[in-house]
Amino acid sequence: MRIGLTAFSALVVAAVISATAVTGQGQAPPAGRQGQPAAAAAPRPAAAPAARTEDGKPNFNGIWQALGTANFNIEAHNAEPGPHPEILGAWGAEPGGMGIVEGGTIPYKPEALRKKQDNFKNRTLVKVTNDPHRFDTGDPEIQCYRPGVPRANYMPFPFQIFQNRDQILIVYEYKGSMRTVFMDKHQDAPVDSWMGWSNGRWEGDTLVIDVTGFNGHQWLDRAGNFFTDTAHVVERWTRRDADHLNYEATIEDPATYTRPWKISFPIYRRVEPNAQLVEFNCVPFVEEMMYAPIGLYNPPNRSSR
Amino acid sequence: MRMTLKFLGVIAALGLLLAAVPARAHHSFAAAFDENKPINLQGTVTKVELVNPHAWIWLDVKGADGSVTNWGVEGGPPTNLLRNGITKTSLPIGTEIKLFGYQAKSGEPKGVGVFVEYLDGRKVFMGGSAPGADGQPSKQ
Amino acid sequence: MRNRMLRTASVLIIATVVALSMAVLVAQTPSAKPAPSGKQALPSTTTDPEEAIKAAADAFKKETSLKAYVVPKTPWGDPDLRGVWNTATYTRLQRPEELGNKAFYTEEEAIAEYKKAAESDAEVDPRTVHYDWKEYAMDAWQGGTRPNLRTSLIVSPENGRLPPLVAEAQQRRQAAAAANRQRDPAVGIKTFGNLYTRCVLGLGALPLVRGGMPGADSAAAAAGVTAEAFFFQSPGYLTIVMQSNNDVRIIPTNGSPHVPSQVRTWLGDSRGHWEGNTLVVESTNFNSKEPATNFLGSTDQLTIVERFTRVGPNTMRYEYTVTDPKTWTRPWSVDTTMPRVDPSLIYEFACHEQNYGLINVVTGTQIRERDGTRDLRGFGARGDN
Repeated sequence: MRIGLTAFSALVVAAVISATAVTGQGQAPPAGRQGQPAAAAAPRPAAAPAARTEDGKPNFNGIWQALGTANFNIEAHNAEPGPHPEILGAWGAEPGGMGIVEGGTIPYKPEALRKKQDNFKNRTLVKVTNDPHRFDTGDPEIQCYRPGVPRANYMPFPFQIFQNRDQILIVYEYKGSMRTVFMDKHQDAPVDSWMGWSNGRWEGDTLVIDVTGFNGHQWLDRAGNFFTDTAHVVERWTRRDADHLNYEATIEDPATYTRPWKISFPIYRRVEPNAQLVEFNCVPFVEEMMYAPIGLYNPPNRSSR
Repeated sequence: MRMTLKFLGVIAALGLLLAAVPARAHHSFAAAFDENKPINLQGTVTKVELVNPHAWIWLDVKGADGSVTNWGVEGGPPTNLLRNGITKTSLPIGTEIKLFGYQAKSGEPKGVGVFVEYLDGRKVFMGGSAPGADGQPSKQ
Repeated sequence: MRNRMLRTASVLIIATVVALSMAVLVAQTPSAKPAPSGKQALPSTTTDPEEAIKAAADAFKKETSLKAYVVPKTPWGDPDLRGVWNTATYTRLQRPEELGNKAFYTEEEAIAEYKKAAESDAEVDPRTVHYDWKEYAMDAWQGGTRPNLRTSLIVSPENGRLPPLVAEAQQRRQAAAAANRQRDPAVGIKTFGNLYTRCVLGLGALPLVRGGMPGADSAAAAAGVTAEAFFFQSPGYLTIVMQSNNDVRIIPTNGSPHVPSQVRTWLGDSRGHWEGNTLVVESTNFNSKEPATNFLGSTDQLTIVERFTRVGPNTMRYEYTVTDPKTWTRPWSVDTTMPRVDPSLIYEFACHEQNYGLINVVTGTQIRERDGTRDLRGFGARGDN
């Protein structure tokens, strides 16, 4: 009887310990020396992060990524050759996809639809000026500009969510773009931005994020879909299971659309043991494209030093 | 009178020190502007971009012949202004402002704003208060 | 060219005469005090240098006298380093030679040094072709920088100065200086190594605190600009988001290994582990940044080990050791503190997106290159990264 109680107590203690474990990665090997290949350390099986944080909320900490082709076009589309097939061939081709727009079509106002079509026609037309006219043409993504919300969430790059009780930080591998979600001390956007101003709250187990304060230069994809600085995006993030999220966003902009409309898609956890964001600083990749046409890009004419 | 004297005093002090090494390491910034082309502008705000690395104020300036030129004037980064309660509504479109600065080396209607003031002499940013601004200091 | 010089000289002569008669009026104009009226109240510590100096001295005295401070923990049990920390300082990286081996000021001396630096800082604008720093709350005294008991950031070597350069680093520096003295008709964005002007990197992401002005090297002197670091902790990670350029460092704190040597990045690869209440972070795998250099002329063999320890409610102790066998004959170390900034949030710094100024800078440089008036001290000489 006594032995049985001790064993039972031990089991209870063990269960309590494992239930309160937060993000666990098991025992870690010592920090690697500079530059040595990581293959020297065997991959550690990552313990599944706990379903809830210390304050009982759903746990979104981790590295995530959307699959699919929404970044090419959020509406349904077939495969396309893409820009400059004479150089890029199949590298530059765009795969087809079923779209993420609920109901299939974005409800543009007529003049906004014409603007979207102009955007598409000029999506690779980069004309850099030293005033806001530089945003008149060209996909922001091609110029290494911040992708905005919701587009950042369906770029073909991972992103990492860091969750505290009062703020949630999301860092997107693309350009290291970041946004902070304020879970308390909500305020109206004091300044306009690319990634918007995010006020978040919990509705049960759903993280609801209210995003405003866009500067109006954002596109929603490479197909020229867009909104203006009066846009309002409401995201709803939920845990589908330990390794999947459901993402929905309602988008409204009276200057662009006839009514609010929704996108939705799943998000996948990056489960490999060495998953991490790898720096993607695309500014140097675009300087020639942006500045050579205006005579400002000349490579140095002296030997490297 | 006081404002004119102060302006002259500043211009004089600037004249003395333009040949000196700037105390701050924005050497490349200064290359953009022409120390021989000071500008005194007065105009109506058409756009305020609280952006980084430098904020930009755009204003319509009426020339002597009545033509209107839209000037772009570069300032500092806005993040410390935001910390101190200045927001995107602090300088409304349509406000009349005046500024002293230097024109871009290229000769375009662009420049750097050394002093940016309302017509009554109050500073637009950290020196004074904006009419109609309702922001609270962001320190809690 | 000669006409231009004569014209400039006459301007200077006239200006000198005017200045001599106006100097008294300028000195008496109380530009530090806010103009009266208006609905918006600005904190006095950002508009009045004397108020700021008093507040900084008070905070300094309070937080240096804390005994046995107990570091609070995050909900998951790590020492709590969270918040926004001010990375600007008036303390120089290297100890002034006249101070010899004097490593510490008395409290009174430290406050006096700070007062001198803050007053000089508040007064210096705007004597150059530049927006007024004070108007944008960019002076270090406006951001909560405090006095420092130390006479330099560097604590090792003992003389508080950088160790000697190895021979190949001296050669690199001489070659760079020689190249910079040449005219370059093809000057363009890529010519100068000014990664900040191009918005490739912000100022001072790693290491965080580089030393004050006047007299500091260019990178350190400019590091007072938007000098804030947002520390966001979550289980297994410290994520630092810099206000300048929103450079992001995601630092695993569970001792995981560095990335393979083929993976080299602008901000290096940072790996952390806890030693008691101190987070120790080792950063390697820096890229080469040509034509700029890594920190203070170093190469891609740079290693930086940082130590973060919270020593007060509003004070973070920050130590770092810099090693690069291709640059310095021995490692060198810094020990300093960072005060807290409120509120605890960071703003978007979309630098490259709205970098209109870059066009003016490069165009202006090209014109000056043709004129022969380009300031050769300007950029690229020291790699302002």
